Amino acid sequence: MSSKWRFSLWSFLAGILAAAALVLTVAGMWVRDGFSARQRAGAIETEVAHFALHNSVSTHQRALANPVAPSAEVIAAARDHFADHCATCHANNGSGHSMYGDGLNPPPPDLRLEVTQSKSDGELYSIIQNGVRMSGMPAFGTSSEHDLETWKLVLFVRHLPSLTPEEERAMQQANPITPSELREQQAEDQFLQGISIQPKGSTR
Amino acid sequence: MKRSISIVAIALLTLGVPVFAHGGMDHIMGTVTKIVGNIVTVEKDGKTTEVVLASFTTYEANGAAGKQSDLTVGDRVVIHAMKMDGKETAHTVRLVHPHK
Repeated sequence: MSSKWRFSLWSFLAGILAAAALVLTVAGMWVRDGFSARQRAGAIETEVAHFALHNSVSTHQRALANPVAPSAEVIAAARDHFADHCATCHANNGSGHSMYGDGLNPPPPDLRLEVTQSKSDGELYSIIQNGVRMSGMPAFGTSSEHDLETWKLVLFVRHLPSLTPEEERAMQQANPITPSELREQQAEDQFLQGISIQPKGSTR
Repeated sequence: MKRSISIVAIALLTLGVPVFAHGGMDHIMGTVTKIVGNIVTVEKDGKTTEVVLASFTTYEANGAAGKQSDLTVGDRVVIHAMKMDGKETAHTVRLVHPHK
């Protein structure tokens, strides 16, 4: 066996042993500490997740250009779409601090920050269309590269860092709401106006 | 080699299972009786609740976009909060100054 093959074999075996040791260590920690979604990921798990996510998008997808030109009308339409479909987890302002977002593990990223904004348009498009495996991010589209609604959402994600308070309040009108939530909202409005009425089903 | 690392990474991640939070936001209505730092105390019908004002908390004051400093003792408030680290933490605060 040549020295090159011996080196490759030893490298392979070393890699297997290292991976096995890592898996056993992590598994031991999880058996000891449980699988609660309340425990936030450590730095290593986060880096591994980001690495996997980055490499799950092909070079071709990453290079795709947004075919939709930004305009006030496009942003407004995408804003309503985001409020209706995305804000439940991502929050209207993209912070990820929402009823479901704060309970998810891994949590939705703050879409306004560099970690998201530094991704290419094609990468953002791919994430929306294909979802993120083993996370709460579903695949919203088909494998098509030409879903204009998704491309418009990419424009809106780019717009999030400059979202105004007025836009955010407008999004609240587009957030999905159940009849009981609507009644509770009306009761809250009346309370703020000085009409004290206890809504049914209120937790306080 | 890159693909091998990705496979290992993905294999590790399969041990993490996302779990949705149970329940919804707590809706806290009442009058502000105390503000100490980023802790606001809300009282209604003899019951008091302390709520943490976080960096991500958004505010609506008298029907318009507001900020934390708009909150004063005596304001009527509706706070949508979630338990985080055992403490009610505000996601949104709607407040009205009683003289408005």
